[in-house]
Amino acid sequence: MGWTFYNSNGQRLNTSTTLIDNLDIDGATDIGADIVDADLFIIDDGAGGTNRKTAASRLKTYIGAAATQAEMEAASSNTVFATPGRTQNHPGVAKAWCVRARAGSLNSGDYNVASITDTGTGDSIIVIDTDFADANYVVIASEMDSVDNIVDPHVTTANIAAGQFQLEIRNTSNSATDAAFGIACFGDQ
Amino acid sequence: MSKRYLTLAADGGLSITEISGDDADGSKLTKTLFEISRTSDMTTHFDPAVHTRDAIAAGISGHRALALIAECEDSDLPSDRYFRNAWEWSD
Repeated sequence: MGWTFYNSNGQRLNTSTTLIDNLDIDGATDIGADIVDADLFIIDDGAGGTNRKTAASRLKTYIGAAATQAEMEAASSNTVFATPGRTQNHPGVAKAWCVRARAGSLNSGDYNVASITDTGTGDSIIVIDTDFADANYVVIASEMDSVDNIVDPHVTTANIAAGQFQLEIRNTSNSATDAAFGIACFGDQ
Repeated sequence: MSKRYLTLAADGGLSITEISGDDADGSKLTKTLFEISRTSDMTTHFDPAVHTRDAIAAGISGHRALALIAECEDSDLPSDRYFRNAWEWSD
């Protein structure tokens, strides 16, 4: 004569096979905290009927964890996910952008730009907030000026350092001229 | 109106800096002074513990000595480029 177990609904629990339908968790005490790596779940291993415990930490591997900076920079994993705080580390994402207004100031709205310094007609220094890893990065600029009397201005970057670069805006006669330019930077940060 | 920070450029002309966003502790301005003072050093990263305003003003290797000479409101400055390029600083 063995023990006979019943759940809170008065249903009998079979000692060899307990149907999941027989579990009643409504009245159980809440964990009262965030799930942490060491917490345990019950899992039917391979759906073969062998129940095992599994640590909550294994869910990260199964579902996919947040990508590290190195994983974002490698740009190869398909098992981790990008988070807002790491997206900028992907090599295909701009590390900084801004609009240099014709007056040599910043238009409202930018990303990772600390300042702009007006050093004269057509010349500016853009200082990056969080530096690039080194000076090996790309600056892309396109004219955004709506004034027609600026003849085909083009921009050259110079004196590139990890934390700043110089913009030189010139017209077709290679004379310094002021014009509004949109700027984006790509590289390793 | 937003503030502008004035420094003397390498050629003696005025440089006008606009800081992006808030800079309550002045760290963006200090980094800017470090960056725009570069001459031959294009590799050193800004280190706030080392590259203080005093150190930048005294001169860091590969950088020219640079200090703020004034700050003003944007509205204090002429908008005309001809006059801006002709500015000269006097105490």
